[in-house]
Amino acid sequence: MGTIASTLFGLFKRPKRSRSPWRFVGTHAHHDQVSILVDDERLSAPEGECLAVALAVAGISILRHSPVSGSPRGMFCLMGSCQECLVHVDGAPVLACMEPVRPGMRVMLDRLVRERPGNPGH
Amino acid sequence: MTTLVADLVVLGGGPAGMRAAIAARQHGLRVALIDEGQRSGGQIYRSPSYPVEDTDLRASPDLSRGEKLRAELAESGTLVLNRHRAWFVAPGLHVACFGPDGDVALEARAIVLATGTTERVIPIPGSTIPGVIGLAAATILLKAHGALPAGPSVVAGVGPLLYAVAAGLLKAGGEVAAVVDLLRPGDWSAALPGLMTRPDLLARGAGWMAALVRAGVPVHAGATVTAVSGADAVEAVEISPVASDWSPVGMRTTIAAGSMAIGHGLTPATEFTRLLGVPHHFSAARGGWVPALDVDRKAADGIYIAGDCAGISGAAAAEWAGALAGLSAARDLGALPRDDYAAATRDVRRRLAGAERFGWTVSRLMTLRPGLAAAIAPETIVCRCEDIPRIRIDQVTGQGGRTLNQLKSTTRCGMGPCQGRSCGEAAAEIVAGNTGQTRQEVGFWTARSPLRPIALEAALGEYSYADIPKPPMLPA
Repeated sequence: MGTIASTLFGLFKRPKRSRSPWRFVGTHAHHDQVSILVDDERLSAPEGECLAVALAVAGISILRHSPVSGSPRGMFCLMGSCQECLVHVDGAPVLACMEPVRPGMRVMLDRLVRERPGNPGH
Repeated sequence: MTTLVADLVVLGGGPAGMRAAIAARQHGLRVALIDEGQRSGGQIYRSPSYPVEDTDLRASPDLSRGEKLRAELAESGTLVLNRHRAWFVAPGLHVACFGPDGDVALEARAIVLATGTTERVIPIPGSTIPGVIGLAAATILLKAHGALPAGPSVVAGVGPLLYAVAAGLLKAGGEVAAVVDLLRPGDWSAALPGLMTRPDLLARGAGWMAALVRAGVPVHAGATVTAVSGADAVEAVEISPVASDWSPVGMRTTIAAGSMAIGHGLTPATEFTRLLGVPHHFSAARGGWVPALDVDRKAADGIYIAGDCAGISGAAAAEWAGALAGLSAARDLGALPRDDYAAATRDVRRRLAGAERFGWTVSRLMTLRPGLAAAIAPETIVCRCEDIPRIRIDQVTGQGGRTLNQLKSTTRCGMGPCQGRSCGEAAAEIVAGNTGQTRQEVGFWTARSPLRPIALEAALGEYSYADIPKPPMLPA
């Protein structure tokens, strides 16, 4: 009964909710923007910010594809546990959610998967 | 490779770990603290990556508590190894970790394990789509990074974190499409007596609810999310009412969304305590597997455990348990005489008991009910790392598989990079449900080092081919 009521409440009262992208909240001063490379393309990101978050705000939410199914994957736990946000930074595999943005860092996405013949993106 | 020798190693820099280190240092022990984060604080007191202003401190009790503890830790003389990931621990005590400057091996006489929790997420079709994140992840996004996920967001699952996240998203200027709470108002009011021991936290919760009402956010009580759809990003979320055992029943509705934060409670992170051979038993009310401990937080000679990794009890209890563990280590290493130990811990134990009253009320509220995992659809990916769907797990139990480790060795479920941290709870619930066993009987993944992915060089150290002793060749 409560669920029906709250659903009806939602149907009648809910204002139009528009879509919005990943973004930083305007109220906090962020560190200076620095230039980084993502798949050889230049990107601007706040120095010291979490790489996974900086990439998402820059429009990059797909960080890799599952080696088994090829399904797109992005950050999930944001605390270094799930390993979904694995990217390559300056040649080494790292978790984007535990990696701070540094000027000039070279980020490569899907590195391991791309190098295997027969996998998506190869 | 650096080798360090300490009296006490503290594994984990959250509230429990920080308090353990501070307490041990007060009695002169040489203490090293290992923590994965940029700065200490764990997840609850995670330090923002943006510059903190006084307005932030006033607005957030967690942030100001975290800053205070970090300052105390910094003044304590503890060797704090932030950005270091521990991957091995053995009695003796030996700890191996790696950090930005290379590998570090530690030898210590005692260890306090304060490794916290992982979030439990019972998967649904589409839960691997980018834009689906954990409830804890959404909290971190807001508190530590000042960022909003793509909107509007659906916030789903169980526990106070639901309302903290939804209200936090609103406060940050985001849009919440719906809150989907597995619990009903009756469940919350039944918990009120226990929750009233922390009127400050109750007031915070009431504030979150008021914000949601003001913004006209639909709150679906006694409901769950049953599917997420979208190609490369979240586009829509399907919602269903649930029965009292949390199985979806009745009419499903679909709402448009740009992201979803989902979490079904916290479960103790027990990899390191398992690797040390500490016995564990299953406690649904405490979030999962809990280690066997005495009243001094001691599991075995030289091994002490504190915080949520010993059973979900909350941040306040974690601080007191950490202090107790640090003091017990100091006593056993000869730095704190027994009488002084008794005096020092009297107040700590009292405060711990008080904090546990609240913490255990919350963890009981978040106890997983069987209908959720039972309802996981056959095609749902359970093991994210290895893309293993529920139907594969059903095949294994159908062929006589009865334990989590049998599932692991048959299917690779739990063998991927996350080492079963993401799928362990759901997989165990499925095996238990399919075979009519208890969670205790189904067991948990055998802990194997390395507990985090490491470069091969870290495991080999300075060992090279020339070091292998080769026996002399036999005569021709």
